[in-house]
Amino acid sequence: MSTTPINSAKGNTSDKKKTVASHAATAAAAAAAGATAAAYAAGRTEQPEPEEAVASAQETQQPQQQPQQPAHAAVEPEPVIGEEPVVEVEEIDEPLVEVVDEPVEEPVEEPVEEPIEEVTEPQPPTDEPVNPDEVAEAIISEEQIDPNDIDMADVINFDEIGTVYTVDGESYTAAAFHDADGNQLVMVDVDGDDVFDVIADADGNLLADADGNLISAGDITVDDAELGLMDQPAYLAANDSDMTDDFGADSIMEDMIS
Amino acid sequence: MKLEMKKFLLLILAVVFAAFSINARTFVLATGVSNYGNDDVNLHQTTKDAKRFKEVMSTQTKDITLLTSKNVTRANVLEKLRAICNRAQKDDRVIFFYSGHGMPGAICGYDMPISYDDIVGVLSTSAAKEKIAFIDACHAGTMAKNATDGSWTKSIKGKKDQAFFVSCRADEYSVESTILGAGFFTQALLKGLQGKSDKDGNKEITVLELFKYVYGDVLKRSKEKQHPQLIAPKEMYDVVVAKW
Repeated sequence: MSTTPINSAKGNTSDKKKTVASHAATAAAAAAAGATAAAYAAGRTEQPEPEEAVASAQETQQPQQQPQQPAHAAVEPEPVIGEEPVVEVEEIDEPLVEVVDEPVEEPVEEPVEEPIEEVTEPQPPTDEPVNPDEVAEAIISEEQIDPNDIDMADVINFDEIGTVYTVDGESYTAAAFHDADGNQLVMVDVDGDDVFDVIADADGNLLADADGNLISAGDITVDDAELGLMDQPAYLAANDSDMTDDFGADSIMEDMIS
Repeated sequence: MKLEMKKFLLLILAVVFAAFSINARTFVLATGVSNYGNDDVNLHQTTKDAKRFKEVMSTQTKDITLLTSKNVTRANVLEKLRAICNRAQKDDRVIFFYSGHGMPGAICGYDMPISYDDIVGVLSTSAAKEKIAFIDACHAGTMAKNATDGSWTKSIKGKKDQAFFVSCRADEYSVESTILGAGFFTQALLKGLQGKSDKDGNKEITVLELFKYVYGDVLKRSKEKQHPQLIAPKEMYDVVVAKW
């Protein structure tokens, strides 16, 4: 997704490296140019040894580090100088003509152009191909979850659902669960309307509040328990009692707006 | 020999048909805000609602985006919704879910309200065949009031491709339950999507089946103080929301 900044950064880095390299080459070339100029001034009859020429060039060019830039501008190798041993170094070849002709002005005029020529050189293929489809897919299926979400822990954790029988032979739907403290409890649908009505402890004793009122199951339904028992979403078959078209005094049509 | 050839052709046709069926996609944007950065207004079940909705819908599609709390900014929600709507093709479906605070005419994003007009407006730009929204928020029924004017009217009357399940009438509140661990509406929605609303047992949950189940469940649990509403053209009633 963020290929643009990455590529851009890589591109910049690459450019910087290339700039540094060109400066180094420029320096070497300019040094060689200075040597050649010195040799030229000393007279072409005296051909110094290559090592000597380079050494003298370095000495003479040291104060002139700035003017070393025009290495890139030398495009016409001087045949005469090229025949000399000194010119065998490639970096020395190019600047010779320029430096000899205009040793001072040329470096000052050209430095701005240098990076431009360097940029035109082929760059290593750092860009990875971007697939628009992959980018779009990443956008349309992602999660941005706030770590500070307030997700209250469930107070009812269902363990099992089934039917319980009384000594009289009556049957009720019941769901075993444990609360947040780990207490094992059971909620029972007493009147068979698929809504749990009371809560009992593991021994079957109904729980009541301080006033003696039975504690209700908070309108938890049987299918709530079925849903709560599922580890992973899956199909939940409907029971006949799950659905009703009887909505009391309310008409569902009032709330279907088309 | 001819029989074998016929079988082969039938097989090819079946494969082609299956390929076309697979191409239809469902894109889901599930959002929920529980932490508004203020204890006085923070909720406790709404991001759970969004996460659970995402879990259930993950059985239907892989193209689900989930945003919670501070990520549910107006700009982010509309941006993601636009991306989904742009991506969806004519055979696809877009589903939007929100659980959190609501106010007349809007849901409450983390930073500012997101009007129903905005949501409908973005949905209307999509080429998707069906757009379905589930809103579990107070005063969500005010969306229906917008059905009388503006882009909503154009959309629902013209394209007939949008269905909105809202958790309550315009003047009602939507309730979240600590004991239940969910909002009344979302709890009913999740059960319904997973099959409890499948009245004919064909394992295909239609819009109408789902709404009837949600309506009855919420009414029963809320003692008829909360009335979910379905705002949709009748052409959408038989649209299959989930298939098992």
